[in-house]
Amino acid sequence: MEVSEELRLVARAKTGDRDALGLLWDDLTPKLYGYLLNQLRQKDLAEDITQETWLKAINHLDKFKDRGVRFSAWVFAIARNECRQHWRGGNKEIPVDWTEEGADSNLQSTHSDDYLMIESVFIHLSNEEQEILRLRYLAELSFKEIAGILEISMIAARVRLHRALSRARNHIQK
Amino acid sequence: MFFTNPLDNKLRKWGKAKQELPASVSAMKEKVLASVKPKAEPLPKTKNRTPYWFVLSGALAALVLFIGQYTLRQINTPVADSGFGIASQEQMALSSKYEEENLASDMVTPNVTPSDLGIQYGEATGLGGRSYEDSMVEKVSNFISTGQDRNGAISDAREFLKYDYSATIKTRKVEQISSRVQTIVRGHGGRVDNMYVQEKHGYVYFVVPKSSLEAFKNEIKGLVNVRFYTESVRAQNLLPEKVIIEKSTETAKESLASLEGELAILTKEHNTRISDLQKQLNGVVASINRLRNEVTTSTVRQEEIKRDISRLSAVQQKLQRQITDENQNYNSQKFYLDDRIKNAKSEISNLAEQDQNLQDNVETVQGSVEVEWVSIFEIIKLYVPYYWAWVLSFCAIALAVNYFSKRRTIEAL
Repeated sequence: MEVSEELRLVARAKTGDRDALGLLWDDLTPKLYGYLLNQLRQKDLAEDITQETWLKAINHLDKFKDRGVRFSAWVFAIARNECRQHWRGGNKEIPVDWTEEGADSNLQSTHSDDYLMIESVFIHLSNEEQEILRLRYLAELSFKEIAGILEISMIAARVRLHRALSRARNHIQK
Repeated sequence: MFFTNPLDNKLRKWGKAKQELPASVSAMKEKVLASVKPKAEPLPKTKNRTPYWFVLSGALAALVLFIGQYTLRQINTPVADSGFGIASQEQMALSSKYEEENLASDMVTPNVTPSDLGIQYGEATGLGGRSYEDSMVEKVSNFISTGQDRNGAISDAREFLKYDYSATIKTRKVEQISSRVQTIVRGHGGRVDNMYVQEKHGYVYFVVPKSSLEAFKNEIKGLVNVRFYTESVRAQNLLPEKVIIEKSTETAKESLASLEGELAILTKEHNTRISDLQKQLNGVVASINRLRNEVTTSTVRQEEIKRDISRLSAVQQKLQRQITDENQNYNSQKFYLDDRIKNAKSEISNLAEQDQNLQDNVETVQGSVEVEWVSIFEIIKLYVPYYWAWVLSFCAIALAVNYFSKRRTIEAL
């Protein structure tokens, strides 16, 4: 969705227009849920946090202002914060067991070599590196937005992605 | 096949493939959209007119700030640089004190830009976190308030002083003095890094060992009369850097020990499991062999043996598969831990190198000597302060004497 279109819909949503919000939902939810599922590896939890994120976004919609930050990036920032809150609230962050059978039904359903190769590369990356790849390729965010979400500079975001890609390439070549 | 397309493209495709909708998307959407409350159109805000007095006071404050900054800059500028003569010792001391204060304030409050810490983003989103503790403002406040810790606790009285030395020599023999400065630097085991000599101006940038700084200074001072020499020595304690390196090393070592412990536990558990499985496998193989070697003419027994061997072979295959799986699992986890251990060791090695560099840095003094040509008038000025006042007084007296002598001559006629 174009930035201007997104902003127009947000402006309408602020006035209580459900249709506008529905369009935003349709555009954002696949990315958001995919991102959360990939990070949390639990469908129920990912669904809960998707819903929590949207409810929080709607309740605080008035606080969203167009200052060079897309609405989608704002929603991802909320989602990430929700994940942190979940882990902090007694659910300790457990490293994802990528080898566990059936942990990810997508793994079973999609059998392309590239897909499996990327999933296998993820095992060897640190959590930070996995996160930046998720935000860049799954959430399709710009470096500026990623930098905002991760609370780092734009240059640091670029460098982190570059390193993650280099490490991924090294593992592929092995 | 992995190299036919760039990794970037593969990741993009992967990202697209990973985008999906939750199973209960319709119910969830309905619930979310139901939480939207229709609002009335916000009334257009009345344009706030900024009061005239507010603009005026702002302008006044800006003017005061500008004058204040200008004054400070004037204090910080050595007189020698403005071309009016050599800076007095007091002026140099005041200047260096001001520089040290600035340096100290920089150290206490790290150079933090709002964009670095996501304040702008927090402002834009309005959601720094669930609570005040989570907000970026709080994080930044904590960061600034703990800035003191970065400089080392007050009880930590260690000093890793890095000295910087600079001197200005006024002379009529620029080339000769510049050459002698270089000789002195080398004589004290130092190294000339940069040098530039012209007819009326020259400078030498160098590094000398900290241990010979005093002797070196005295020798440079002895090149000219004390009136033609000014020096400035600045020292900065590199304790904050040292503390950071020490803390990082400690953390890295703890991490390494923890990872090595994890690896040891993993290996021990793996060996136990493999040993158990192997024992079971050996038992099954022995049973199969025993049954195969049994000689019987009874057809019933022969059927029984056949059935047992078949059953045991299935168990044998299952155990072999378990051993293979266990080995694969172990190798995968070991690879992951080995990689992290390697990284931790590499980090410790880098930190040791940084520590050594810091020690080397502390043990050397970076300095510069500037050699400037001095005119006769400047020499006179150095020896006779306000000489122009004396000259004017002399002229005035001469004129007065001349006037009165002429008047007396006229009166005599």
